[in-house]
Amino acid sequence: MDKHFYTLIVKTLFGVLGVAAPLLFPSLFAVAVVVVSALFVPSIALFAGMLTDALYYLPGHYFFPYATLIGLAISIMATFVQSFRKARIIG
Amino acid sequence: MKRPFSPNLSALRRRSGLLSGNALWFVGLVVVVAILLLLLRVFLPNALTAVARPFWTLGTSGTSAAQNISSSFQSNASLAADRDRLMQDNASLTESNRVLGVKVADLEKLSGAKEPVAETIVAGVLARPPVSPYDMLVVGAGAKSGVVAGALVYGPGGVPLGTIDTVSPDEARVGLYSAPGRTTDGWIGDAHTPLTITGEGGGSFIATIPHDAGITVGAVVSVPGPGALPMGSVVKVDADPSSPRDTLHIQPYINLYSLTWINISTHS
Repeated sequence: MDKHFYTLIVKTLFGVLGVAAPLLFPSLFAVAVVVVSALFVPSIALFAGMLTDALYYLPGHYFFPYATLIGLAISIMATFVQSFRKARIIG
Repeated sequence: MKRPFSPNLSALRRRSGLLSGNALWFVGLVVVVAILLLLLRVFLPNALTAVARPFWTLGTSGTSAAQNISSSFQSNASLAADRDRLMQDNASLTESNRVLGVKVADLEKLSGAKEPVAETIVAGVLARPPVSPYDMLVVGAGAKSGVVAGALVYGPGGVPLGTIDTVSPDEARVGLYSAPGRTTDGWIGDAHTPLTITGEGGGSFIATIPHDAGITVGAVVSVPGPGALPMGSVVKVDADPSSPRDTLHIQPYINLYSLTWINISTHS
């Protein structure tokens, strides 16, 4: 099978799993799934965080949408990891 | 001849992470997604939950299936012992409930007053902790069913859980009393000593009370409803000799993680 096609399938699968995680799994497990997904598609973490806050965040009771912040942090870290992998610094 | 300094912007963009095309694309995507989600939540609150609904149902089914599988690994002997114990508990609770019912009826006859039955809306829970990282519930009844913001929400047995926070036509979000930092006034113990209960997240509460109040583990905590509604009990008392106040750790009667149905009062 073509390597690019294989990569595309893996990225799509992890992308879908990362987006569905906040809806399906307990939050801690969802974070773990999103971290793994972000290693393939970094922006998924941020999207999952925003989706979580869009669905569950109650502005009156919580000071800040924490899920978005956590998603942003994971996305930034995953972007660094991916750039290091591309530059053959790690992996 | 010396050439004047002219920065090569394209080379700078290639070297600089901040100016790279990938980073700009990423920031643009973030902004677009954020705006899209914000617009969806504000103008089409039903759309998001309508998409999420089948996933929530699937997640709940998966959790109950996993519980069934894990319980199938228990030995028959322990399951039979559990069943016998639960049957005994059920019989004694049924009996005490009957006795209490008779006592209530006698007292109502004696006083001539009868507490009106509160009208409630029964709603299924779509999302709950721990799937929701915040102490909130998404329930499958909204404005179309008569749910209004600020209405009290009760769990099985009439245990108060929180209040309705936001309402859309088909769904509502419930802010639980146990949300971190949320304070609720209530009472504790047989003497109904007033105290302020503070949410700790994950369904638990904390409160402080003067050491002289003599509160011990097992004391019942109530919150205002129609009268005083028991919502949990003290599971731990932290007494610091240097402080005049004890810290109480309160556990609710209802396990939020396995909540499937709730009752919502029809008025705020």
